[in-house]
Order: sequence, then C-alpha cells, then structure tokens
Amino acid sequence: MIDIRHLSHTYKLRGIKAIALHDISLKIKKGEVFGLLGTNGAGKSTLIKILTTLLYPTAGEVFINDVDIKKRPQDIRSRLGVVFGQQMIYTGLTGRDNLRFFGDIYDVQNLEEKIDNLAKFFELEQLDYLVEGYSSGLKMKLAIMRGLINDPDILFLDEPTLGLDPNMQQKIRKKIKELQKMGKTIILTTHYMLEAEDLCDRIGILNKGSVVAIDTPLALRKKMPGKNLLEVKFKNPQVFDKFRKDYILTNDPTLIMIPITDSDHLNSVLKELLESGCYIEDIKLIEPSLDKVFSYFTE
Amino acid sequence: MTLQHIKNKIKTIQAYVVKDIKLTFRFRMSLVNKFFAPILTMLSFMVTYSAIFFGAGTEDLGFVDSSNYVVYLLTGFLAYSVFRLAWGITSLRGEVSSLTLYGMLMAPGSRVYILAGKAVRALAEIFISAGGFAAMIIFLNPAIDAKNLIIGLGAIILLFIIFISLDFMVTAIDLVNPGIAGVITSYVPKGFLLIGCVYFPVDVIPEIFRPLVYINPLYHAVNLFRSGFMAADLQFGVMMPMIYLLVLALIMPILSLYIFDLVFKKWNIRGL
Repeated sequence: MIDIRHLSHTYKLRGIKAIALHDISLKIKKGEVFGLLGTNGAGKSTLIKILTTLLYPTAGEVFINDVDIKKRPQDIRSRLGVVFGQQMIYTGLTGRDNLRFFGDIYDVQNLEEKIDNLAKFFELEQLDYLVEGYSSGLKMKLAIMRGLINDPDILFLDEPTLGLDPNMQQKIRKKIKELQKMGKTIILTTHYMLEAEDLCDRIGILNKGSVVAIDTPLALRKKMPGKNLLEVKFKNPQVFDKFRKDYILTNDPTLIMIPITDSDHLNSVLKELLESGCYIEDIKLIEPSLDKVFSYFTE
Repeated sequence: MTLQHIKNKIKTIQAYVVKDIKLTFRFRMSLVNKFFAPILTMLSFMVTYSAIFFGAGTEDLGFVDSSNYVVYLLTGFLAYSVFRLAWGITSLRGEVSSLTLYGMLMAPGSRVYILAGKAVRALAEIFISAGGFAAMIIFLNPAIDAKNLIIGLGAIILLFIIFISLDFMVTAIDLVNPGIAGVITSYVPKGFLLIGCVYFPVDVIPEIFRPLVYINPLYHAVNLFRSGFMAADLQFGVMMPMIYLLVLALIMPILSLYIFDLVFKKWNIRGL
C-alpha cells in the first residue's frame, strides 16, 4: 500500500543544509496501524508531509497504491486524509460548516448524510456550534472527522491525543481502533508510548532522520539486549549481601533487580539464587517498557 | 471539458467563497473597523484643510476650495478604501498558521481556487466600506450626475480588480518569502497613495514626478470617481483613463494567476 524507497529530504535555511530524512525505506501494509515514533525533530512531520504530497522529497521514491506520488500527486490526494493535532479547522466556523467546506472541495457526494454519519460515529452533538467554543477533545474529534470527510483509504494522525484528558484519550483511541476495523490504513505519530503499544501493529522509530528500528512493539522490546530485569524480593535483607557488587539495589532493602542478557544468563542467575540458600518471597521477569525501548534507540 | 466538470469547478469555487464570506461575517467588529478606520484618518486631513481655508484664509487650492473639500476628501477616501482593502486581503498567513492551507492543498482541485474566496470576501468588505462613504457623499451632495456616477463606479471596480490582482502576487511571494512580502505590503500601498493624489491636487507634485502619477491607476480611478460627484475637470478626459484602467484590469488578473501558479510550481509549494 505505501512503499517508501530510499527517501531523503534536506531543508535549506539561509544557505545551510539540514538533513531532515536520510535514506528511509519501509513498507506499510493495507489496514495496518503503523506508529511513527521519534524525538522532536527526528523527521516524523517531514515524512508525513511527503507522504501526504505536501512536500516534495529531495531524493527517493514513494508509491501509494502503486501511484508514484512525486509524479502523480493529484491521483492520490483524494485517497488520503491527514490530521495534524487539533488544527486544520476554522475556529470561526461551526463544525458542520468546516466539514461542508472540506467536503465540497473534495467533491464528496451525499455530503450532508456523510457529515451526520461521522457526527454519530464520533458522538459529536455540538456540530452546529462555533468551533471556538469547543473543548480540546471536541476539536480533536472534529479534526479527525475532517480528515475522514473524503473517506480516505489512508489516514495520517499526527499526535491525535496530545493535550487531552485520559478519558478523551481513551475515547479517541477507541475510535482509531474502530477505524482500523473498518479497513483504514492508519499512520500514527505520538509521544505516548502506551498509546503506540495499544494501537500500533508495527512501530518505526525515527532518529535524526533515519529509521533506527522497525517492528511490532513486542519484537522491539526483545531487540534490547540486557534490558530485561529479574526482580527478586527476599524475606531477609541481609542474605543478598553477596549480590551487592553485581546487582542493582532498590529503595526497598529486601528487593534487588538483576539485569538479564539472555536465557542462559537467566538460568545461571536462578541457579545461583537457589544455591545461596536465601528465602525468596517473590520473583518476576520484567520486560523493558516501550519508553525504554524508545530511549535505547534514540539516545 | 464536460458539463459535469464545469459544475464541479463552480461547486469548488462556491465552497471557497461561502467559507470566506462566513468567516468575514463571523467577525463583524472587524468590518466596522474597516469603515471607521479610514474615517479617523480622513478627519486629520479635514482638520488640515479646515485650517487652510478658514484659519489661514486661503481661498482655494486649485480645484479644491472651502465649498467642496469635504466631498473631495470623502471621494478620495472611498477610492482609497477600495484600494487599501484590496491589500493583504488575499493573504494566506492565517491559513498557514491554522494549517487549513494543508487541507486545501491536499484537495484535488486547482490551487488557484483558493483565491476566489478571498477575492469575493474582499469585495464584500469593500461594499460595506463603499456603501458607508457613498451614503455620506450623497447626503452632502445630492445633485449627482447619474452618468458620471456610473463611470466613476466603473473606475472603482476596475481599480479593485487591478489591486486585488497585485495582492494575489504578493500572497504568492508571502508563501515563499514572508519578509519580502511584508516590505511590499507596508510600503507599496503608501507609494501608490503618495503618487495617487488622493488627498491633494496633482499640481502640488513636482513636474519631474508627474509621469509616475499618470501611470498610477489609483490617480485615474480617483479622478474618474470624483468626476461623478464633483464634476471635476479631468486632465485626460474620461475615455483615455477608462481604457487604461480597463486594459490593466484585463491584464493584471491573468498575470497574477500566472505568477501565483508559477510560484507554486517554481518553489515547489505543495504544502509549506
């Protein structure tokens, strides 16, 4: 569905070149929720602008539904939807007027019916009120509705839950999941790792304009050698004195964390613990969070 | 091009126009401001002219004298309002900051449609301003020659087309280089105004600069418009300035749309 080949982009600011994207190649499948993660300035927005035909890349190729978007952007625009946070809507118009305008310029048929269906789907009852009176959550809903007005195959969501309260974040995520079930391909950027883990089938991590990792959230965790931790809680604080040199102490005097590199290492540590004769109250293996995975790949 | 294509194009342009008109009337106070701001500026000129005629005892300044200076200034300001309101009205800065421009640029239609809504919006604002001034002028000078008035209004409409076209060009430049566009927007209107003889007779301009005055469409439009209300003595008659304005009004929109499109293509503006 989306095939990116050796994509690069360089900005020129006052004669100084700044590389925004460097030799990116990746494929995004139809119906997939693909997460784009990266630090600020990593190149996420530049990549989205190129994929949505808003920016012409310096080098490389992008094919969407087999259409070369560099050569034939007009052929693909009507199949794309983009949402940049709570923006891209007129606060001086009502929600309905916003949708009417964007629907008309996309030549959407049966527009009023479409607007009502979207309002029902997003449970937006304030459609005839001025947007300037909307809460952040309502603006976000309207922004996504605007992105969906032309019934796109591919929806780009840039920070769709930024600045929203946890309840509204949940509601938006639920709608994103429902959109995926409806067959939409969704490219999502977010700084919330839990959100990425919850929503994304695969995640691509961008760092300094390059893709440094790309895989499912689970597989990305496993790509972190030595980042699994064995948490061991003892009944008696004195018994693990011998581990002090090698293992991580915590604030709890009965608790230690042991970094595990692989399964052989795990077995040897467990054997050592049992042979030490200490009484283990609790033990568990902790996988690194996506936050840690993100830091690992971007620092 | 089929009938359906034409219908679609009209529908798209209509969408831009309706959106911009709604946004214009959403902020009504700014419309009131567009009428009162020129009046406040005009008052300073009225005070100056009053001082010249009634304080200093000067009987006339060529065509302008103590009996007609109020209408003279009002006609000048009406024409100036049309010219001034056309400046910056098609700016896409607001659309850039709210990112709504992205939504428009991603739509399949021509990017030049974006300007249609802006032009109609400008026209709506100008009607409000012009209506107010016209009412004041008619109140002060009810005996108006209808034929001259039509010619004058025609000149004003042509002036609007010329300057809104110039504004389209500035809008295109603004997307590429806001700094240069800012300088143009700040100083070029003042230049046109200075050599437009809106507030003072052409006689006060030194001879060497007169050719600049005569190529300024603002000068001719203001004079033609004044002739409708004040039976002013037109230096070049009616025909020549009207033809000049008409030619400019035909060339400028085509040129501006060409430049707008050229800028988008040359600087490869797909988004920003």
